Amino acid sequence: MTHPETARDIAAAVQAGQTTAIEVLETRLARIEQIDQQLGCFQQVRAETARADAHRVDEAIARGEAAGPLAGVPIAIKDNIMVQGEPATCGSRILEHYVAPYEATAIERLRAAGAVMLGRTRCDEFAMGSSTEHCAFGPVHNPWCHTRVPGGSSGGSAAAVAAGLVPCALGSDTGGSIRQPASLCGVTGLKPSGGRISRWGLVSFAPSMDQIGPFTRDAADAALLLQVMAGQDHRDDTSAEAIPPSGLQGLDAPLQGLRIGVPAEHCSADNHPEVNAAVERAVDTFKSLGATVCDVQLKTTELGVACYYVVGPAEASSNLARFDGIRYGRRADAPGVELEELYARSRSEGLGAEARRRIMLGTWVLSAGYYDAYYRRALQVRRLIHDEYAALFKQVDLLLGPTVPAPAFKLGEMADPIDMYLCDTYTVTANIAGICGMSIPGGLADVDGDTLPVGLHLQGPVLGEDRILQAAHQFQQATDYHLSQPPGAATSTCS
Amino acid sequence: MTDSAPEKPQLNEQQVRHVARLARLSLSEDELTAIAADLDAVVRFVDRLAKVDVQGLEPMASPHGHSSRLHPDEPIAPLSQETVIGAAPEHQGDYVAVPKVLDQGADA
Repeated sequence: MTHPETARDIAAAVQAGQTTAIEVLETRLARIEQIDQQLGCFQQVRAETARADAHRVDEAIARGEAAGPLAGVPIAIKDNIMVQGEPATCGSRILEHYVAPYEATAIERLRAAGAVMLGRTRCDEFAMGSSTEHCAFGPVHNPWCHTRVPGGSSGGSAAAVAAGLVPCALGSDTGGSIRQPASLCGVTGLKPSGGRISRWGLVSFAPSMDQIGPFTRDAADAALLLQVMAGQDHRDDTSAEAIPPSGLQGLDAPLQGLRIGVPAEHCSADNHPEVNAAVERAVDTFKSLGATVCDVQLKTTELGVACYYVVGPAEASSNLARFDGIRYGRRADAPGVELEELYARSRSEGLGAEARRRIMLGTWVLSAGYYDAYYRRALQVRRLIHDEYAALFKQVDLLLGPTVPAPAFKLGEMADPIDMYLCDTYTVTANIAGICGMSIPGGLADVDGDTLPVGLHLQGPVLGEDRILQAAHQFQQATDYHLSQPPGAATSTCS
Repeated sequence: MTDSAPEKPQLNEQQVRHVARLARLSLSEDELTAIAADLDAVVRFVDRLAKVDVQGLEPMASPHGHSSRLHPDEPIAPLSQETVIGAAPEHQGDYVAVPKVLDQGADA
């Protein structure tokens, strides 16, 4: 088996002149051409502008310049992050023809590091969903099994990395939207702490929980991309003034003395047995690497999704109020109607079912008479969740568990919205508390004859990314789960 | 301000209609029925928050412990007028075009 190429491999080869940025790009474009029709990862491939970007990198190297730590690395971008001059649909009809007037800070920083923006990936509408089925432009298929979902909301990005269309991609994670699809697609996905990466240019869903992060082949690439994108930004007041993450430095430091807690509530008997088996194997691996592992309690786990489905929709209903058919986006074709009717028709025609459902829910929990009972109470529960994590991180350095209760489900299988919401049970609390978390491949499971990846969830304290990346990297040095690839993504033979 | 448990929701269609108006969404009768059922299910689910003892807990609107910093006093290029106006679905010259609002009564 040939190992998948990492961003580090590509950048080193491009910088050393062993290959060129344009060659790297053409190889990926050819692969996308060959198999993305079946997968549907990309909303749009920007071949021409990507070629121009790649040429610029090659020219810089020809002039003898250092082209950056991501020289010539093609990156796919979730379609809710703004690349100046390109559409940014957020998977929604209401923004189908919207063109980003400015560039996200994360994109600016990736570009400065030599990366090449290859295209935009499909996602659930406004990042609301756990399957990428709520994308107005069509679903994404899991490269491991085309009848199954890639997870969501950043499903296109996760599937693109899993299928080898790109070495890395950007997603956003408000309740698990990077980690859950990373788990379902068998790749590494990092949700940095709230404030670690500027949200400037990320279309807001729930700003107190939204965070941009990378999908990669391994933890070392995630560390590199985090280092490139992290840092304070005066255009986002919630971006943290903090010691920068260490990147590749320190990833090889031994795990001797590292304290890992395994929350009992995350190892539920209701999980798929292969999911719990993966966690048990990982516990043994971490012990053999010198870490101490103990059982802990995270009692607020059962409150996470309920808290999230008050706070998230409340913020979403406020943020999505801007889509009124007046200043940007789609306007209903309704000549002669009054202004309020124009707002309502534009929004109802442009927004999909899940977005409408969350706007309604958020509007309701913020409305007179219900604000205290729901929104204020959820914020108090949020404090409880935050405090429990804070106390736990005095006892242990990081938490280990499964990312999701079960491997990828089938397209159309999850009909009840609440069942879908419960996919995020183990991931939402990190967003609620603002801590960091990541999913790494932890093995393969057999589900009804289909071979599907299972993810491990590592969580660390606020701005504690270095530690979870170090643990993930050491785990990947000791195991080869992250090297598994879907069996010939073009010809998946599953039920 | 009260920490007492919320009343069991009785989300009837009339309330859903009211929320839809607040949210500026126009829903068909079928959608209204469907969304009322969905909302009621979600509301019942989040009702578990009502059983939590939250006495004395300070509401946490955001975990970001940092805000309201001073920016460096440096001019930055604003978006051009052309870019902003160009993003509007309908415009006339340098203006965003909207339906007439002044002669439609106070609620418009």
